[in-house]
Amino acid sequence: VTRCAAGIAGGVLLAQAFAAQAPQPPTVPMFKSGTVDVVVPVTVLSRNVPVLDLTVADFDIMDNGVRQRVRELDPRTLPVDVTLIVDTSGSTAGILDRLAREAGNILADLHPTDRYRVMTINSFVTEVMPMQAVSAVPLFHPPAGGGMSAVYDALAAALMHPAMLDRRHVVAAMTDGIDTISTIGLARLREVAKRSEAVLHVLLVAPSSPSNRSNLLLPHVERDLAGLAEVAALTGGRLHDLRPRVDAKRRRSLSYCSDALRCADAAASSRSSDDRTAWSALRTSSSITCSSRWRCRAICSAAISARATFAFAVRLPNGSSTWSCTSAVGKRRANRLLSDAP
Amino acid sequence: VSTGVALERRSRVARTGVAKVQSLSHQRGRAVQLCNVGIAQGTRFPPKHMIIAPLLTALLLYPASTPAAAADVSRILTSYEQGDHAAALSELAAVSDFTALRKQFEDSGRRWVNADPSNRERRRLVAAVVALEAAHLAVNDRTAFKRLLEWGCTLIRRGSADAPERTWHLAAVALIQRSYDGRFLLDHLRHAESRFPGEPRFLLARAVNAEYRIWPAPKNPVATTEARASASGGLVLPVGMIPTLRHASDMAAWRLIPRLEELKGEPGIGPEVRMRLGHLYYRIGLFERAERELELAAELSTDPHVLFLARYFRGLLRESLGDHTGAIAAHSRALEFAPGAQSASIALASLLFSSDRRDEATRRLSRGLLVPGARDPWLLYQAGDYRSWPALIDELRARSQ
Repeated sequence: VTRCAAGIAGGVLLAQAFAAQAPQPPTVPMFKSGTVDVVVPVTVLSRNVPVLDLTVADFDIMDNGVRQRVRELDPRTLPVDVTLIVDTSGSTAGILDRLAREAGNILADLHPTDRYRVMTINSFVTEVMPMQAVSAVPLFHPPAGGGMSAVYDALAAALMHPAMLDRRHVVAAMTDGIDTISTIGLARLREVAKRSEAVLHVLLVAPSSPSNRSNLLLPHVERDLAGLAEVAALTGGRLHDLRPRVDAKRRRSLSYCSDALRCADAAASSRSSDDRTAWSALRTSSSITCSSRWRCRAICSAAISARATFAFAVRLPNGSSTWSCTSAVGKRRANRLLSDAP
Repeated sequence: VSTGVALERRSRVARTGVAKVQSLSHQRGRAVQLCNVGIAQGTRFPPKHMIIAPLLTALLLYPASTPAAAADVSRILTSYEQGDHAAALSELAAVSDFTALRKQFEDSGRRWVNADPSNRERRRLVAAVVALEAAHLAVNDRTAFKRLLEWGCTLIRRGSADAPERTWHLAAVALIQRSYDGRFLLDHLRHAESRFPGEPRFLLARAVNAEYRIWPAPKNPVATTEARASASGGLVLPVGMIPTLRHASDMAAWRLIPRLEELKGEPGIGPEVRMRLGHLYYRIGLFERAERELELAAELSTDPHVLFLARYFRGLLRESLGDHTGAIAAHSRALEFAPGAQSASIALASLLFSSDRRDEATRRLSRGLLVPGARDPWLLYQAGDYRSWPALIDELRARSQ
């Protein structure tokens, strides 16, 4: 203890001596320096399906041109919002019980953190149950069937529903695919699907009676199954053929809200914020450039201004292309779709 | 029960069952339960009875006459005549068997009309209007619907062809258009036109009926030239292509056009005829003509239904031409005449969404759009005059007091 106390005293005296001899420095502004952890949640999607198995090395975060070090990658599981669409038009009026069973199977797969809403298709597209939490065993009984079929309108309305920042949106549509009164056609539906943040699964069922099937002979009654399959594929989903003649293995009820849909990759970066120029420019920049066939959702944490702009690059697992973009993060819609180029 | 009586001779269980069914004639649920017990105890039946027992169950399941079906038509008519429409309508709404109701109309309805000779004309109108109201409730029961309207039509045609009768026929036509029964509509129009020859709305109803037969309209039709379409009589086919039902439908649309062109000058229906004509021109690809007719319809009409549809069709037309800005403007204008109409709202939202105007698209969709009950003229397009049903029935109610 004595040696330690002597050492401290000596140190203090030495410091005072140096202070007395050194010239006074000019007055300069003093900045407090430190390290700020910025969490940049990001989801990398290929046709609305998450690109999994990404590592830290796959991400480059550029802060106003200054490369930031990505410290860790924290894969998370996202809850799912399910929009269930049930065709209750005249052509499926005879199989409503079966549709209710299929709907029950889908809803039974949901986790407690998930949410769901139910829409029906006939002449009018109706939201019979608004988006709600899966608090109890969800029950759905389709209303009495009848009327014409606005299938394309219903799909478009569901696909245009904005996705929440921290949730995935899945649309499961049970229909025979016959459209008789929709406002929009398949071409417009394709355009909507290309830009949608939802994943569409079409569960194709057969029309309920021979008379309904004979309606297919009517001119301009649309039942373009290939077109519907293409629309579903554009969103990352698919068309599931549940018609009786299809192999029984494919007729089983599907788990539409698969775990793969729930996964997200969240990149957490640690940045040394000595470079104040970069930091301030980060807040004011507003450029958006993007070109890629990948879709990317980037969510900015509170550490960055709500209207900040940041840049990052993602090298995809195949290593063939390096993808980069700069994103303006809106105050409310931080999950803005950055790219929808085919 | 008669099947059960036949069984009664052979089976103690059946005998007991029939007795109980007879005593519980108003408790069908318990009666069916009883028969199910009988089937479950099938070992006590000879095999033949095993076959007949389900028949007995089916017999019991057959809907019996309910108290609601036995509505007192005279009381309903009296209430209606005295202006208590609510009471009459609530009694009609409780009816489950419209066939039985129609029979009552034929029996006690006629007696009620003749019970007051000094007031027979008005009572005839009242009975015909109540039949119309009942038919409106029975629109899904095709046979009863037709019989009720036929009964009312026969009744009202006994008087002089006056304004109330004209209104009655207009309301009946509107109702039949809502049932989409083309053959019945033509049958009724024959009666109506014999009383009111040349009535423009009846002429238009015939054209609408013809248009309904080529429903639905194609989506995103392709533009063609007038000369090419005229030369082929509406059948526009690439060389070597075999005609299909779709082409036949387009030819039918082409044949309908002269009928509508003739009606353009009829008083009162001109703008609506132009709107429908514009839609027909659009579906066969004559976009220039279509746009001209739609513009004129919008200029000449004051009817929100016609104004909406003229703008809405123009929006579809502009979209088919690739003019998204024009389409967005037209749909927005259409929605001024029917705010919340789902057809134009979804068309507009999808165009905005495709143009990366997501927030606007979302706003359009979130305005209670998916709630049933919103008025959408497009959904009533093929139902013709049914949109006028509320006004017509109100007028008849006022006249029948």
